[in-house]
Amino acid sequence: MLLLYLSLVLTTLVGSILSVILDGVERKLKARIQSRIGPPITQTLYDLLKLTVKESKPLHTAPFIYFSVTSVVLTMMLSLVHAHVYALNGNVLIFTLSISLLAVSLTMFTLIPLLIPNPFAYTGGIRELLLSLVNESAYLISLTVTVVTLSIIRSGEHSYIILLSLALSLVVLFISSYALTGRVPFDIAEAEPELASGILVEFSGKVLAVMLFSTLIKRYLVKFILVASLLVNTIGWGVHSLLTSILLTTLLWIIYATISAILGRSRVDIAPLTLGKLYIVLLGLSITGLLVDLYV
Amino acid sequence: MSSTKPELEKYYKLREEYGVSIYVDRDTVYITTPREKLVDIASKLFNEYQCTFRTCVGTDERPINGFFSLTHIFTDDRSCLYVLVKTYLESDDPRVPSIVSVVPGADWCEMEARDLLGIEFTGRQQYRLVLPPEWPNNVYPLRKEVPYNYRPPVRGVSERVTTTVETGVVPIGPYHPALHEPEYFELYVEGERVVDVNYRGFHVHRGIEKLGESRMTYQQVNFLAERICGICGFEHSTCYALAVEKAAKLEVPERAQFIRSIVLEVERLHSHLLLLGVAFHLLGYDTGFMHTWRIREKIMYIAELLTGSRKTYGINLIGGVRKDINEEKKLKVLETIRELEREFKSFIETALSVPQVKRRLTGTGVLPKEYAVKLSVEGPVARASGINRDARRDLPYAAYKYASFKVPVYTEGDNMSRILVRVDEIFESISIIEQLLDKIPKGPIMLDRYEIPEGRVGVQVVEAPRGGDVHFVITGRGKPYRWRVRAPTYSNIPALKVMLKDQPLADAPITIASIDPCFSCTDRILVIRSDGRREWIRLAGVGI
Amino acid sequence: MSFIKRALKPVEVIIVAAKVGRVTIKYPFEEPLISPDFRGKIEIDPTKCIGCGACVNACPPNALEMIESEDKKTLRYFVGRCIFCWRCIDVCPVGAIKGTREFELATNDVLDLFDFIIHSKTRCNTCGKMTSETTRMQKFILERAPIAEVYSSKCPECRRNSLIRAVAMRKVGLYE
Repeated sequence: MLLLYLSLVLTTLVGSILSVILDGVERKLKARIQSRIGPPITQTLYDLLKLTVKESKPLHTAPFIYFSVTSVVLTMMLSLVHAHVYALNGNVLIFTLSISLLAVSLTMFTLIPLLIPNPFAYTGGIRELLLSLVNESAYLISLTVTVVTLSIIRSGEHSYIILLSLALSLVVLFISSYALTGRVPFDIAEAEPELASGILVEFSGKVLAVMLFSTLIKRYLVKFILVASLLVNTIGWGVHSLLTSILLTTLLWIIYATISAILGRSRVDIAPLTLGKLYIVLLGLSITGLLVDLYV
Repeated sequence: MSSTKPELEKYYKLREEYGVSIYVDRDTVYITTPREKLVDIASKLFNEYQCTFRTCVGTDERPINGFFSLTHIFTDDRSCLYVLVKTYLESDDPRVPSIVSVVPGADWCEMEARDLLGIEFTGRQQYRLVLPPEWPNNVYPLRKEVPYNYRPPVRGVSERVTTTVETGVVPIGPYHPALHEPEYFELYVEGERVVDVNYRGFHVHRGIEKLGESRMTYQQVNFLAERICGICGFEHSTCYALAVEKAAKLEVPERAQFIRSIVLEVERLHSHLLLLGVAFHLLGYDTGFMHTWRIREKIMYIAELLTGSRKTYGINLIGGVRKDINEEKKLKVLETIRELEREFKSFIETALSVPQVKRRLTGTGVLPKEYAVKLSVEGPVARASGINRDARRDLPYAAYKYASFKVPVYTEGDNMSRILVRVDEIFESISIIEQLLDKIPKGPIMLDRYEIPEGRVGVQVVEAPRGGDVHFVITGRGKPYRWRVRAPTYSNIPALKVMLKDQPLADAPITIASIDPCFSCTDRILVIRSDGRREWIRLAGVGI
Repeated sequence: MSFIKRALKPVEVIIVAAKVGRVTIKYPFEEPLISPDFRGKIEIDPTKCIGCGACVNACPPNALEMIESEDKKTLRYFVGRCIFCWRCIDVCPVGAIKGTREFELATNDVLDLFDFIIHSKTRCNTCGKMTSETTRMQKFILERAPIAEVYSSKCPECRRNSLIRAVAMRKVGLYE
């Protein structure tokens, strides 16, 4: 019981504040790669605070949009709570609940821009839809495959095929988690020069602050679930697992930030196709390897 | 004026064939033709003699001789000649046949002459191009009786974006993060593919031609010309100074010409680096943007050292330049550009190897060669589509005859070749600066005394970073009588219709940016400040 | 091997950035980089200016204006219109204008951007009207041109009349 309350507190503080600060670190790192000083690390926090005091221009389908936006954030926070709890006690049901909540929130996030009557918004929405279809499914499938292979390896008897299958699914897992975080080269949904901010174009004020915050939480969540599932299945659950997960999430964030600084933006007809082909091939091989090991 | 030069023979032949009058003065051929023969002469020049069409100029010459006049400016690049075809029109009914059927690139300049002077063009569809839609019908701003600060009573109207049922419409502009200046592109899209483009520009009129003819003196117009564009201002002021010096037949000291050429190349370097940065930014590769502009800072410092200001150099005057180069500055310039060459060379290889950059630039925004020739496009856009044309080599001016350089030409006509043309030109510019600094002669930098007689004509084409820029000057008393500027982007924008068709929507901003549009250069004909100015700007979104 | 090298080429930008370091500065707390030739605001020396108006003629955007009133001529310099071309410095006959390297000119009060140099006009000693010359301009002309003082203290109208009469007296023998 105490552990539960502890994890709730940890979630709301650590998850939110850490994601905001890490975004500031990412901007500072990108600035250093671009040879400039860059904003201070707390800049994202200042931006979000400033947005909350600006006025919001009303949207046409406003009540439903506001409902969707708040539900996205709440679902993500709930998913985060459960992910932390999973790192603490390793309960598979809680893990499943966490990733289902993540899937629900991502679906709502994708549907929001399609409801806004602005050509930039629904063009961005369609792009987001295409990308999500490919990346979300790959992420969830590869996550399941990884967890299953890891548990098979831990149970003792395994062949070398399972190791190959684990490696392939790990590759897909990392690539799809990178693509889900919406960084360059896959930030084509809110491509600013092309679409005047795409899916975020009609938001302003507090609603925009909540949307941006939900993007940050999504990034943190995607990485945390990845890291937590790997750690729980290798070194077991508990407080040490939780703390190491948070640490490794930070490390992964910084690596992803560096990668995003050295690449350009892809295009909506190129990216999903390339990614899709890659995922199908690798996941197919991985699942085949898994099945071969289970039944042979 | 030697009639024995072989290139001029074919122009003298026109006299017998069409009965027009020919007058040759140094490198300019003046053809005065009655309006019935105009289309035939234009067709002969454009198709048979392979002249390049530059622009057409309408002039109100009623105070001098009671007529309007229309001058078409061609250049014969292979023989290094300017060919001016002039027609006189009655003052009460100025009509002239249009040459658009023969020279499609003349579309915009004819409509501009119609908007600003009231010259009617027969044989084509006419529309309002330059003035805003609510401008009163019978007020023609460039006519001499309209004062430069006249304010017609206008009320702004707001317009809606076109809505169609067949295709979606994506409006780019007038205010858009991708664009640096206000212009309005309506892209008709099906899904993510652009099927048609509608362009409306001229939101940023400043009345520069009228100002130059009314309120300024000869020397003051240099500074006004420099502010036509924020990126290529120096070449506008050089072109104006060269045109007036050609009209008045002034012998400018050699050292001044060398300094002008060196600063022109410095400007070309900074402009190309700017465009490369902007192109990388539009592709999402912000790191490339920041590093390219960091390299550009070195050139900006050199420009400040040589001329006194990072942009809008202000060193050109009629008769020479105002600032000299001493030994210390020369050494600093050489050291900096060598360092720049090294850094840029290694950086551009890295930047162009990013897979997203390569993938998105290759094969998009293609402009085939026959369209490029028909629309008379300029500069790197033309050179990337296989047209081998460069005014520095074909119509040498200032000190370019003392430097040897290659002109890069690619044939694919896509965005990547436009970028590569500019990258090659950067290296050529560095080589030109080194050669000119080596050969610069001693001497004065400004003429002591000069006289500018009235009623003379001067035309000059200067190769700006974006293409050939044309200035046409008729001298008056103390100030120009008529001054016409045709910036290179003016000819390149109509080519966008061809380039944007059937392209994915995501490539629209990078295609628009790859012609290196300089809308300030394009829209500088005329807008009178009006009382209703605020309403007009609300219509256009944002005016500068 | 070369495929891996080609695929990793974009990473070189990190090496470039590491070599170059940071190029931006914390501006208000560090000095900006301006070259010694930078053209900034001008300063007019009121002790040297003679009020001739050559700078007003040369100024392209009319930042320098001459405002004439009954007995005063005021040279007004408005920084808001100045394009920092320094043409006024080129044409000033006495070198009263100096160029500085100041460019941080933003202010809350627009009156800070105006400089006024006020000259008094001379009075014609024949007809008593105010001329359009300033006293200093008169002294400037006298120092350089051998005009008799009897002519230089008149307005142009009276000067012309008295010259005609002087010539008439000498040539034709007109006595008055």
